[in-house]
Amino acid sequence: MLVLLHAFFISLALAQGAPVVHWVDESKESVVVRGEVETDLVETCVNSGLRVEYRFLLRLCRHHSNWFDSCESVQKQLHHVAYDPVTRSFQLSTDRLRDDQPQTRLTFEKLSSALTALVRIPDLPLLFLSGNFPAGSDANAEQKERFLRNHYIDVRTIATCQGEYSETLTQVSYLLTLGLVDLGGKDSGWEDVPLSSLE
Amino acid sequence: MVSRRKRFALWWSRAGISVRLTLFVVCTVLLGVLVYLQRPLNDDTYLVSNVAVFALVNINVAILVILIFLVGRNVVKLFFDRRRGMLGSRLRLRLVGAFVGLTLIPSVVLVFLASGLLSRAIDGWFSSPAESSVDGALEVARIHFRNVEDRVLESTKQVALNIQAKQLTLGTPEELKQYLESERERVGLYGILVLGNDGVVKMSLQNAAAEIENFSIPPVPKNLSDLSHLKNSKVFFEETETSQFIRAVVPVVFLSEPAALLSTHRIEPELAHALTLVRQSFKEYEQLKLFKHPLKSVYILTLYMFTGLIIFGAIWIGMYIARELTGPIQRLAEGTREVARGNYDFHIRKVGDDEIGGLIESFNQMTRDLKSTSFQSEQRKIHLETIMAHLAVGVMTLDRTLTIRSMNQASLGLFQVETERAVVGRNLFDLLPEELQPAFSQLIDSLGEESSTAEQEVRFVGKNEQEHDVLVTVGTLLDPRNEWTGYIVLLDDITALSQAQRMSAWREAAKRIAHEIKNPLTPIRLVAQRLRKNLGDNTEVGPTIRDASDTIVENVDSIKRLADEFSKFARMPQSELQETDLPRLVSDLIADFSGQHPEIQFHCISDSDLPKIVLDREQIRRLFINLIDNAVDALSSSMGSIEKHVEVRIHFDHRSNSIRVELSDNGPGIPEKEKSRIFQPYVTTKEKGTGLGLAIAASAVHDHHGNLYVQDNFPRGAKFIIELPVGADLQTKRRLVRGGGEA
Repeated sequence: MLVLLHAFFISLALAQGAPVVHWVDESKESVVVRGEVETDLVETCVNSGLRVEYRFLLRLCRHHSNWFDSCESVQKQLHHVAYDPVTRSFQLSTDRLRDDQPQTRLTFEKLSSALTALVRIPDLPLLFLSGNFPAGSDANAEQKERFLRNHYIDVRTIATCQGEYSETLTQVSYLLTLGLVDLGGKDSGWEDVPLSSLE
Repeated sequence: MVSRRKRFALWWSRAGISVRLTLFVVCTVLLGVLVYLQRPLNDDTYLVSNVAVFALVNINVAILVILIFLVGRNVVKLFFDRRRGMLGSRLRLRLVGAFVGLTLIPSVVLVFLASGLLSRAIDGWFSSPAESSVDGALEVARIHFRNVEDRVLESTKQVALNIQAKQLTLGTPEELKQYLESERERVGLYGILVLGNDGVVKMSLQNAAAEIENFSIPPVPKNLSDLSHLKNSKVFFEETETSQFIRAVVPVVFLSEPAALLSTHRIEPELAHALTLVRQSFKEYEQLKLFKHPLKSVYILTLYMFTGLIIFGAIWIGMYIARELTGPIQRLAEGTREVARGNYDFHIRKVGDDEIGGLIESFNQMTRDLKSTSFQSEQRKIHLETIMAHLAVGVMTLDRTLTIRSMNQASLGLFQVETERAVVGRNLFDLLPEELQPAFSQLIDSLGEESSTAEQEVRFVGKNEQEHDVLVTVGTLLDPRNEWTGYIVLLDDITALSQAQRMSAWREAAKRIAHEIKNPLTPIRLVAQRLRKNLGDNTEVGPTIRDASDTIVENVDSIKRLADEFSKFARMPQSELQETDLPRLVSDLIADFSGQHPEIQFHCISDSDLPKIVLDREQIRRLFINLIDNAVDALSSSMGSIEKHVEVRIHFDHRSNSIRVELSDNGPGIPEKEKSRIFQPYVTTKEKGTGLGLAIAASAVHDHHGNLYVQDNFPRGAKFIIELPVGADLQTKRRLVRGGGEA
């Protein structure tokens, strides 16, 4: 158990697969982003009083055949799930940074439901990622098609187990081993998903 | 131009421990800050600077490895130095060992105790009582919460039932709303919402205190937007930033349509706070349990790391202090070796103002003093050696076994030894001529407790096969503690003095004899002349009287001549000093003799640039007349076919600053036993010689502060050598004669 636990801290990244992206509907103006996380170990983390933070980093990039690709600024969305021992339920909070929407909170009685919601953005408008996206009924279809053809989404997910002692342990381990052991978050790395290939 | 690297190395080597310590602390702090800053914290942009971390990790590991390598290398070097027996290595090893021992033993004990204590302390956090209390508190919270939940649900259900029943009697929505409000107040709910099938709020009621107390009821949860499938009631918990709520949703038929009643109960702040505390405690406890072993490991690792740091630090400091101590000691030892070798310029750089620095300063001062003393001693030694070398008196030092320790130039010359090295270490009696050994033995034996010196005049045949009169004085040598270490022998060549004394005695005797003899000679001559005059003409006795008186007069004249010679010998000459061209004087004499003796080949060879010399011309002229006359007499006998030669060579001797005249003939020579005596009065080989010629010649030479001696000529004959100093003050007393012989 301890070995697994230590393995979790050190190799969380290994358990993270590449995020999956697909359209919300046929309008092709919003996407669903779904990441991955190892359920058993997250369960252990959550049941131990720790909070799991799942961070989505997204940016829209344009491909240039004769030059470097250009990308918009990175947008972030944070999901947190924690266990409430009093109510015996799982609290999920989501917060899309830099937008006007308040933080949303959901309560789940089962962890599986909470984890499903944790690793998923159900509706991410492309307009949020790039103000140049031709959206809405006024949008030119050809423009849109061209846009979709030339652009791709860069997605990255980072999962961390947060808590007072985990942070303490992470920092102490980092300092004591002079940076050799880093128990901080592990991420999936940037994954390029062409918009034209989405389903 | 000194390179930067060397300048830095020099500066670092001179930097004191405070400077190094400060640098070490600053670097450590900077490193720690750098490491900490690299730690990606909870910022929005989670940037893992892999390159920087990688570099930092590598630098840190490299520093660790370097530290371990340096300390390890120094420790190994220390052991090898110890095995090789290098000076200071034992002290260094002991110091380092002491430091390590002083820190290692308590550190190890402390580590074991601390890690055990730590382990038990951390285990204590999870003891049964602790766990039980946490679980108990949680259970109480849960039960209480569940009770509240049940109450809220029950209340909401009741309100739903009542409103459903009341709808039959109440007509307008306002009346329904009023009734709902009264129900809300009755059951004590903070808010009631009536949600339509599509999730739209049909009616909303809430406690007026909500606005006053500055909190707002949370919005309708999104998952309740579609109520079409809601069949059962449910209760759930919701939390905002300021408050905690329990909400219940109960399906209801409202105004003949399916709806849902959403009630909100605000948990009292005190209870909410308590519940929060319980949650927090539980979470913390669970986290602690989760991280129990990693935490333990980290703390123990921290302990071990700091212990290692302390031990390494102790080794390093021990080595540093040992080096600071033994370095100067080594230099001092090297310094003493150099000083022992005679290098008084060796200087040790002073480091620090402590006792070691004081010792180094004392050593340097001692070296300077030694150098000064040594220089003075050397000066005195040179001064003494110069005096000894120029001393006319021979000086010898012997040890207690009569082994020669030193001899000065004068004594070497007396015994005809080339160098001091040839005799040092030999026994005295190996050097002494046989005739001197009894005298020396007697002298040495006569030294006793009461007498520290003894002297005796001895005569022996020394250099140039001449007889030397030497006054030998033997004394005991004592060391500063007055202990007898050997003998000192003084050899004063008084040959010239003896000769002069003899000469003086002979002169005095000659003067008296001449005077006594001459007195009666005149009357005898007169009587003889009178007899001849009165009786010379007598026919009977006339011829006899005439013969007798002639004989008497002749012999009286002869005796008178002899007496006159004695007078000449006795009389101190009236010097008429004048600058004289000696070669000219000699060559004139040679010319005279050459005319008178054509059968003899006369040669006169002289240097061309001979200086003029101040002397008494007549005395010197008589001198050379005597010598040439003797040479001619020696060649008067038949020599068969051998040509007869008389040769005079005159040259200037720069070493003795004198003119050297060598007068040689190829006659029969002078027998060995006569050589030592021929300059004494009345010594002659001629039948009719007076024996005073060479004595007068020797006297004349001595009056001119010169030397006269005789050697064998090669291949045959005799050679007379006259040395006349140039620039001698003939008016002063005679100077000390150097150990005669050839210049």
